[in-house]
Order: sequence, then C-alpha cells, then structure tokens
Amino acid sequence: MAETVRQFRDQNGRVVRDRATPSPDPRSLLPLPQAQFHVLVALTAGDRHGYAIMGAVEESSGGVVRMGPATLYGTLKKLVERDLVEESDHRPSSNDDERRRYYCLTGLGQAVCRAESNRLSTLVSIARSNLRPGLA
Amino acid sequence: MLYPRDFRDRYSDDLVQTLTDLSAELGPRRAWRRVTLDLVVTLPRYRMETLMKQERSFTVLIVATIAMASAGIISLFIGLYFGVLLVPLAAVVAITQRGRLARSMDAVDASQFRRKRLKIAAVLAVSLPFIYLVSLPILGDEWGTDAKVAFGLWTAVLIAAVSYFVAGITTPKSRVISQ
Repeated sequence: MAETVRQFRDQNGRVVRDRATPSPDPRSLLPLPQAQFHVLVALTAGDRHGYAIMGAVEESSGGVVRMGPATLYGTLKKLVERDLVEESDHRPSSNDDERRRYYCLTGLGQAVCRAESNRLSTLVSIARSNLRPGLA
Repeated sequence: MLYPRDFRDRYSDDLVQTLTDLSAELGPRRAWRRVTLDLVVTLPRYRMETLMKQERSFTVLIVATIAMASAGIISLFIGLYFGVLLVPLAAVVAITQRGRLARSMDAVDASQFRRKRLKIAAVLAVSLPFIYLVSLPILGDEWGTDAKVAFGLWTAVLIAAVSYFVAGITTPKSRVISQ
C-alpha cells in the first residue's frame, strides 16, 4: 500500500517530509500507563520543566508515586513521540535557567488526558457502587 | 553513559540538571539513592526497547540470517558436515520472521528505505565479480582453505545482495505531495 508523505520547506529552505496521518482517536491510546497519565495530569496546570513535573507528580499522588529522572524523561520521550506533549518556548519567568526545557500538552494530549480521566472516573464509580457499605 | 545513545543525546543535560535539583532539595545521599534505584529499573527496559526498534530488528534479522547461512556453507566445505543444518535454520528464521521484516518497512519515508536497500543490493551485486576476480589466483585445482574462504565470502555476499534486493522491491513506494 502506498504511503502518503507531505513535503515542504522549513525556514532554512530545507526539505521537510512529514507523514500525512490524521490525529488518532484519543480513545485508541487508552489505557495510559500510570507514569504517562501522571505526567499529563501534571501538565494540565500549565507548562513545566522536568523537575517541576517530578514534584507535581509526587504532590498529586500524595507522595505515593516518586519518579526518578530517567523514568521521567523516558516517559516524556514517549509522550513527545506520541504527539501528546511538546516542548514549549514559553517561559514563566525571565530569570529562569535557559537550559531548562519546558513541556506542555498538545491538543491530542489534552483530549487523551480527558478521555483517560473519564475512563478512570467510570471505573471508580463502579468500584464505589459495588463496594458500598453493607453490600460486601 | 549506560543509557541508549538517542536517549543520552536528547536528555543527558536534563538528567544532570534534575540530579542537581534533587541533590539541592533532598541532599546528595538521598538523591543518589533515588537515581540509582531508577537506573536499575529503567536501564534494562530502555536497552530492550532500543533493541526491539523496528529498523534495528530488520538489520539484526538480515545479519543473523546471512551469518547462519554463510556459516552453514563454510562448515560444509571445511568438513564440519553437521554445520549445514544452519542453512535450513537460516531459511526458517527468514520465513518465520517475515512479518517483522514487513513491519520494518513502515518508515517515515518508505521510498528512502526502498532506494537505500536497492542501492546496497546493487553495490553487493557489483562486488561479486570483483571478489571472483580477486580470488582467481587462489582458486587452483586443489580445493584449499583459501579457496573455501573465498567461496564462503562470495556466497555470503550473494545471499546479502538477494536479501536486500527482495527487501528493496517489496518496500512500498511513497507518494510525495509537494505543498
């Protein structure tokens, strides 16, 4: 089967080729691995650099999920490759270390995060309903 | 240094920066403990993921198949007759792994890989007569070790050329849309 490739020139005049594939259905990417979902949730609050994401994940999980640096950047790499997260040029403050890279959610990333939240919410509702006191 | 190259190239500065931040917040001892635990968990996983990458899988598959077939043929000529079993084994590997071979062709620009594979096949095919000409002086009436090695090399290059040619012509062409 022939594959469709878009071809255009970037600002430097170099030929850039891009596979012309439509955005996937967010539900097709579910369920998300726990680490990926935690990182997406951390980025829903806005652009963050790696260490800030680590801190946010630890805080949002009540200290239960503690990511190491390699886990974090391995997760970010996968999310960037799946087009759920991208590097951001926006910097919250001008005196921030320029070497830090900030990350933000893409449109697809937001949609996937929302879909995963809904999926987990439904699951939690079922669990709560089944585990009501007196029924066990 | 232990992580795969693409991961290191992309994130080594960030990893160092994060370790520095962790050391400042938790102290060097706790920071290093966390990083070491993380290393133990992530290193084998990332290495395995790199090994299983499709393009690399294709190369490993081709090299393994050619090596097995060549070893089988060479062993036949040097008198280790049971080694010939490697030839059907190579065929079995190539046939059973053809699905992975096909998946490896799902490239960003398939035409590029098609051209690359056909080019390699052409270079290998052109080198066949050269190998033959270079080996002529050692191909005498007696079937010596040099002649066997030369024949084995010629066979290996022939198998590689055919493999790359088949892989090349079965790689789909890309349709390029200029914008």
